Amino acid sequence: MSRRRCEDAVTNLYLYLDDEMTWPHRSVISWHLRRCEGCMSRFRFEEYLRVFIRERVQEEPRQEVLERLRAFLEEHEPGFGQ
Amino acid sequence: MRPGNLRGMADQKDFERDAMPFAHQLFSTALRMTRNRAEAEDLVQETYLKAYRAYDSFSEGTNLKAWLYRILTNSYINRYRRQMRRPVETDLGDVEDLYLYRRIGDTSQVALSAEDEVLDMFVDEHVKAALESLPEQFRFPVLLADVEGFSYKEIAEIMDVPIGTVMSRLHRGRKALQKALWEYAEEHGLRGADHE
Repeated sequence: MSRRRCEDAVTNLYLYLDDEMTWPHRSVISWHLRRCEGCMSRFRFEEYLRVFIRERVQEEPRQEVLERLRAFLEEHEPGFGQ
Repeated sequence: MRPGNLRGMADQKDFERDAMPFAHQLFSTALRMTRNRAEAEDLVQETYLKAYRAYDSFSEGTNLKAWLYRILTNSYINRYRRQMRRPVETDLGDVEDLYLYRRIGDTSQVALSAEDEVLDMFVDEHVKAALESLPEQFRFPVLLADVEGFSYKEIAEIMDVPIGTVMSRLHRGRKALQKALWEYAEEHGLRGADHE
């Protein structure tokens, strides 16, 4: 695989995963990924890492937090929940 | 748009139905912003009170979640007198591309195609701590993009900074997060025997 194509892919990795690229450039990188095992491995890793981080930093829903929020709004805005 | 509401503005009576389902997500983000449960709860309460009072000015059919996050971010900035919109003075250092990939690949015998096994070395508390260790100008774009799934344009509107600034801070913030994660793993000896 040409070094230049690999560099282009890695430089634009975040734009690609964020779906923030122009369509023509995106299709060039998609074409490269189908043919370059190394870049595909890098992209897969970064994509998985993002999902992994999202799952690890989210809090479990806590009902008491929601209840206190409702009580706060009812106290300050009597019209809330009517 | 409902009859009689020609401007398409939201109705305060619908606030509970429309906005309350986002409360838990906002609390989760507020916790990563403030790093403190009580302060996160106060911040979300302040956000919802402001949102409720201004709900008549919210245009129905536009992005309610982004609108709530904008109020949350503004409330944070006002409450803590932060200068989110100033150019960044914090130096994160120059972190190379693919920081974590290169290090895990260099030290692990585990195939990088088995990402789930490789990343199991990082426990929840360390991922949270690594994210919270980022300066807020970088932490917020990472939170908004990678945890909440907002686009660059939406983040620019939420944070009231240009899109180019969002991209630059987001990309640098992600790389700094990878470095922080790796340093936590090294510090706590989390690279198990299988990976050495």
